[in-house]
Amino acid sequence: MKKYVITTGSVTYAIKGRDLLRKHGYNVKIERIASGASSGCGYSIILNGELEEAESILRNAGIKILEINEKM
Amino acid sequence: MIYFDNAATTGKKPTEVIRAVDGALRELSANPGRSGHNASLKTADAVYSVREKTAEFFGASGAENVVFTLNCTHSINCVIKGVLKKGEHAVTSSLEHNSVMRPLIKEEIPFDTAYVSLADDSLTLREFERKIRPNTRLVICTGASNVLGKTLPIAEIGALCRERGVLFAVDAAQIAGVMPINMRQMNIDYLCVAPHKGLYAPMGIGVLICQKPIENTIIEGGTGTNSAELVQPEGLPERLESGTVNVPEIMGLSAGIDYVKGVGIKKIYSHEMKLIRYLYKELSKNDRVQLYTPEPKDGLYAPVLSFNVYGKTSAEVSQYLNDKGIAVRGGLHCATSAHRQIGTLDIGAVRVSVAAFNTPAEITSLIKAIKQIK
Repeated sequence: MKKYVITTGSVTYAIKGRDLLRKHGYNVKIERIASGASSGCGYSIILNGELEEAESILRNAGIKILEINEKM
Repeated sequence: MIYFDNAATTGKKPTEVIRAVDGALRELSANPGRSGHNASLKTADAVYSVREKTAEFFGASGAENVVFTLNCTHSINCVIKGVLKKGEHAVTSSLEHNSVMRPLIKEEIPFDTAYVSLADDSLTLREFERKIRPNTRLVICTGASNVLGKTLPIAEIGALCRERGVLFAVDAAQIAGVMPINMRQMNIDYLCVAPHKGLYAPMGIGVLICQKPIENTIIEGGTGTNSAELVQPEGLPERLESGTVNVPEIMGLSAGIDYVKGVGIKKIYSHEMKLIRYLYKELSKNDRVQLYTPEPKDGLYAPVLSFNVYGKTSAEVSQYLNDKGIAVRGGLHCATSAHRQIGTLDIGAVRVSVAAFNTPAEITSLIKAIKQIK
């Protein structure tokens, strides 16, 4: 299964997104990124699962996503 | 010491609050939202859970809308200076604290004042209806006077603001944790909270809950995110939370909310109002005492009562009571507007404010002490 790095605007949104996805049964955790996102430091949700539905859940909850990358 | 200055801060904190602060200092010592190690994330999780709890307690939507500030005054400043643009009009009430009045004056905001009736809320509501103009952007008012205890009809004013398309902010310093507040049901866009009062949290933390955006910031700086950009992030709560938040006190707030919910907000309020009415009735029988309101009724008053003794200043009476081991607050209570309304700008008033821990026996002691004033 693929892993994705979903970078959010803040630790608050990362925690909100993580909790939301966990409620939907996703295997997720939070990691801090020191660089990579265009705006610098931030927090990412590491998703182990299907991206399309997870992304939709996050966006519908108003969670601002800065970037999504596949984790190598 | 018998403590009746709970409108300034609740003088006794529940053991759970003290334990929570102590626990945070021991277990949550890493900075939340700044680093990626487990200790930082653990603190960030704990802080987030308090945002969720606070949002739920006040009927707000979204943990991210709960901003931790320095105090309630800071929250009010964030709203007034963040929402109003030059030339936009505001409406406030005749019972406001200086935390509302001074920013309005400093920012040279054109504003009108709605007179608050101490006996009839429909008159107060009509005043707000009359004062709202086509260019009114914000109505900002206290939930209850910190001098007289009089509550304002917040739900009705909120409905009026929604109908007129005006933003609505409430200074909830005297009602948060004392009386139920539901931001969604009451159409409150911004709620400013003093957790160290009715929520029994430590001093040094405030809360601002935003259901609408805040355009301008009054403090900018590090938020732990978007660091490559030299402009303040847009999203709440970080937009208004530059610098490290006060984690021990946030945990104290969490325990304070649990305490109020555990005992029951209605039960605490009912207890406090019984004490205030007992005091009111006894002081009414004392010819030397001047009272300024009708008998405080549930829902229409917060548990705060002010009085004076004829021939004495409020400072003299407060000092006399202090010498008897009773803490009350004399003076103007940072609320000149309210004192202007009751005509006590020259002598101030003696304020008694009770909390969950006060007892009828303590009120009896106060009544006896007042009777003995020569």
